[in-house]
Amino acid sequence: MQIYLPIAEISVNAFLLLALGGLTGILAGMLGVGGGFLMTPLLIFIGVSPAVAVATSANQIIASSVSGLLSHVRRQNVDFRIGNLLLAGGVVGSTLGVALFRWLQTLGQIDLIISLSYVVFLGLVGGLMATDSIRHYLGHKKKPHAAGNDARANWRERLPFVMEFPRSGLTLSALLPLGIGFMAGLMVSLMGIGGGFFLIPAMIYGLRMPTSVVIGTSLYQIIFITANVTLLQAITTKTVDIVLALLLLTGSVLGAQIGTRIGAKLPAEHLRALLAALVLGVALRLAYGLFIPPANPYTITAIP
Amino acid sequence: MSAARLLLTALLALAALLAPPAARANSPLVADISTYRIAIDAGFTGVRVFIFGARNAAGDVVVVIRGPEKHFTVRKKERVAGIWVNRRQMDFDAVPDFYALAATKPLPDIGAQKLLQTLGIGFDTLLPMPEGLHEKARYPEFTSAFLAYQATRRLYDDRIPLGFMGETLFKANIPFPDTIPKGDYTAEIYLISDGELVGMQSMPIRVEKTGFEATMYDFAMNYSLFYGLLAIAIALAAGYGAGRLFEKR
Repeated sequence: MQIYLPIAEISVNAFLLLALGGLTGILAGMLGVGGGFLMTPLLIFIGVSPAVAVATSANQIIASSVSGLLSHVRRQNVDFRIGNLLLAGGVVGSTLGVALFRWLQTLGQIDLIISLSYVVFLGLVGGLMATDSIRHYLGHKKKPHAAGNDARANWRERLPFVMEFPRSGLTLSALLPLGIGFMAGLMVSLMGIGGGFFLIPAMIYGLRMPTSVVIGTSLYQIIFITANVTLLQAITTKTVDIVLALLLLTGSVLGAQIGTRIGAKLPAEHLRALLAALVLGVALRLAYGLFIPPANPYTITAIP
Repeated sequence: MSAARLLLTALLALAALLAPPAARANSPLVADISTYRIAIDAGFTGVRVFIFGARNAAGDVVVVIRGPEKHFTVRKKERVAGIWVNRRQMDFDAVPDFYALAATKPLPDIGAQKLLQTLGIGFDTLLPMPEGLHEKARYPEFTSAFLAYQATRRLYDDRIPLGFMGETLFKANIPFPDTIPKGDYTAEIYLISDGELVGMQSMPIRVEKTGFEATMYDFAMNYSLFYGLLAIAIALAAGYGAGRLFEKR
């Protein structure tokens, strides 16, 4: 069934969009990542312009994140205390990030900087998580952070504003989640995705939160960040397509429920390994695009 | 649209208006189109427009449909330290975003090079070399990259068949795909004989959104704050609704 999209200005198959939404929804519910990193390239592939794809993906991610969050709230898998601190840092970070983005744009080659930072950053995070998972599966009972743990623990303990986080079973300085939220916000503005990629590993490895709480908490903060992005895009670039978003989110809210159920059945180690594989896969795909000669070296943009 | 072409079009239109009705009836070229307005609604998957007419003199018939003009930037990636980076770019101003052409024979065989250039007939007349271009040698590769891009979007086509019924009556079936930009188009029909323009007719076609699509588009453009808030509200409601629905099971 073909349907014409009012803002994207093309005709697309409605069932294809529902399926696309379902796929990213499953990922969102299962792993806590927004799915923007997958949705955006897929939309561009079917002929939606990059600007509309980015803005509408953000809109769609709100829905799948809310749907996923509700299930996590029921299972009490959300640490709102840490989530709010992450959010506060995220608001500041994303605001500064937008300014940084504009500055990089005037220097030219913003696309290259985005791709490079994706490759370097996702490669590092994915590599770290993958080694950890492999070590676990090989049966090394050694705790992942045993080496250098003392020095780091000392550094962490000396920070001021120590707070209790009963849900995660942690006592740590409020500056840590604030700082991680700030970094995540910066990256959301610069890279244009929900930020689950950065948040989840940072919460696991940086804050040492239990994996089960990490996903719900990540979804909680992604809702606010993507809502902010949707509003800013609707006002400044006018590229949010409600009809496209509606089709995608119908698929994704259902997918998120399925994803949460799969996630609840799988052990945390498997979830981590899956996320590591996904992060590494995207990093490799982007690296491939940077180093392999493009099929068509020309890109064309139009101004009315 | 070049100044010369604009002037010529205006003069021809004026001549057609001033000519007495009897002369118009016997004019060398008479043509019309099946529709002057293309409406884009939710079910729009493209449409075909018929152009038909009669020639009352010998010569070649050329039909051109031109879409709204835009500024295009063509960028080319090159390898720098192993990485593919956008390095060169070329800008083309006032280029139609849609261009369809049907003719009795291939343009080079019509043999009125100068006239075709003036009238803007043919792909090679659409992309004049930008002024002050430093790398003139790269002009051909950038223009062909642009033409290839428009062809893959089905917005440029210069091989549309022009059918004849007898010697006088002709028709062409012009495809407008779902990717067409909205705006003002012109349909131009030319009769060319021995390198001279014998007859010409020009008609407007308007491509616009209607119904729900038009309402949404206007809402998004003119009330963007409320549109954005609506988009967020829909997403929140859908996510919440699905969450609740599954909870009860």
